[in-house]
Amino acid sequence: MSDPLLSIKNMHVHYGAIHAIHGINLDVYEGEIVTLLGSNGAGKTTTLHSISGLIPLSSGEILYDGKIINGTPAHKIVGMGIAQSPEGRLVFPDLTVKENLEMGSFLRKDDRIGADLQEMIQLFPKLKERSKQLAGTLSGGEQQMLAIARAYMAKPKVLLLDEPSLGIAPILVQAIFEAIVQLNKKGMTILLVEQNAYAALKIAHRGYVLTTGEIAMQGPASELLSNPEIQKAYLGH
Amino acid sequence: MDSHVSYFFWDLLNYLINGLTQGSIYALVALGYTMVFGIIKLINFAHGEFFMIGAFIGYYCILSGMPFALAMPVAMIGSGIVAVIIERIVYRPIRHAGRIPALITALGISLFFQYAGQMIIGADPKAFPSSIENKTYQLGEVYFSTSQILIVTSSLILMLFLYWLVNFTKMGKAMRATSYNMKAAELMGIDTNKIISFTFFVGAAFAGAAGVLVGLHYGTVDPMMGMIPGLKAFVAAVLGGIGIIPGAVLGGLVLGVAENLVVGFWMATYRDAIAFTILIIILLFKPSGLLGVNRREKV
Repeated sequence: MSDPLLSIKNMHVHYGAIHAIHGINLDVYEGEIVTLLGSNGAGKTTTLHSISGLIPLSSGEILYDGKIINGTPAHKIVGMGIAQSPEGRLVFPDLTVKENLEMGSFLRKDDRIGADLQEMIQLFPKLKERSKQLAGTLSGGEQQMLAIARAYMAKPKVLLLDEPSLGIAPILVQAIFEAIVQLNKKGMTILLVEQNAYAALKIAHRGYVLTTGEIAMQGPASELLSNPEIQKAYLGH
Repeated sequence: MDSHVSYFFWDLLNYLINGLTQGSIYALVALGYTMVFGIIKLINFAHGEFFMIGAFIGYYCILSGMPFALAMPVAMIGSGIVAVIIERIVYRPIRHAGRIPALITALGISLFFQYAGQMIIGADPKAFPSSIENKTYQLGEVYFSTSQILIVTSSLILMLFLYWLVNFTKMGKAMRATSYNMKAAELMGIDTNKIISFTFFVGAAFAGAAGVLVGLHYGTVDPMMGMIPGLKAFVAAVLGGIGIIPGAVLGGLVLGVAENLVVGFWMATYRDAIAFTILIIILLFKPSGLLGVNRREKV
């Protein structure tokens, strides 16, 4: 296999006095969906925020395309090709759906923006109906679709998705996970953080399980799905 | 018409015009307060000093022979640059230190400019050179001056410009995004530090414009002149709903008109008391301000 597109090497992160991440290693190869599982407070969001440059590392490295990117300001990471749909969606409530998508493509100056917008509208037809509505008036599921589409509008090489199923009606969760698969089929590399382990492992190629800041398990998604420990801890069997 | 009633009517109109003039000034200053608060949740108590700095830049420009139409934009740019420098070297390093340290720092900056001004320029009020012909117009029994027309029209132009900037430009949308959530904005690739600098610049430029207009209207400038308008503008911003741009305009106009009605119909010495009475009433009954709403998160 070639080198990973995104690689975390022995990363430690502190929140003040709290040692949140204890030296984790994680690789994401081009074209993969990799899922990072774990319970609340395991450090999943911290890991994504570290990749996006929102939280500094205490030690270790994050490599993207073979280059060290930790220490780079968050807004520059986006330009390098890593976009994130954050936990809780964080769509801009006072901006319209269309304006939110424009913010997604904030750094772009190419002429493909319109075409990508069309692509997102096809993937999430709801967004077209609501394009002039303020994002704050959307339902939770629609906001999640918008958050993913907005991240995609940066035209990244790697898409980081933080808990897209959080607090969303089951029927929309299914639609969102199908959309994630669609994006992956178009060639998008995806790192998916989830508490909904079953849904995530169903669509992922590989998975990691994070427990209190350490990688407890890792492997192909199908293996993790049938692993008795995982079934007991995360799948409710 | 009964003469009593007609006197009342003309008085009322005159007070309203004076209130509108004063309110426009409060609104211009309040806009900067509210924009800075909206973006970094800082009550910038030094904001009134940008009003004073603008007035003095205008004063020196006009003294050196510049026409008013040029002195005002120069004063705006000058105030804006001072604010950007203050943000960069003072507020940015303490941005994550919490609200109380930031507030105290802002008060410190305010005092710094007031007393540095007294040291360098002197505490005496300076006569603002009359660079325009200030005529008084009469319409029935209503009186108004060239400087009043200038205040109201230039405020209106600046507000329309701000409306366009915030709602229709990419920069404005990025400002709104940053003010909602700085991390989310960073994740879009928005350099939030640049947006914050820009917000300070625009806010201080508006305060600077107000300073020049006040200098022209009242005819004097002094290093302490920013203190009371700064406080009043803060009240106006809270009154309208701090962080809400149209709220600052509404709050400024309501405050200006209320003050002038009190001064006209009651007692001039109550002018400053009225502002703070309104503030207390608002804080008691609608803490989020006239246009404030409580936002609920949707699931």
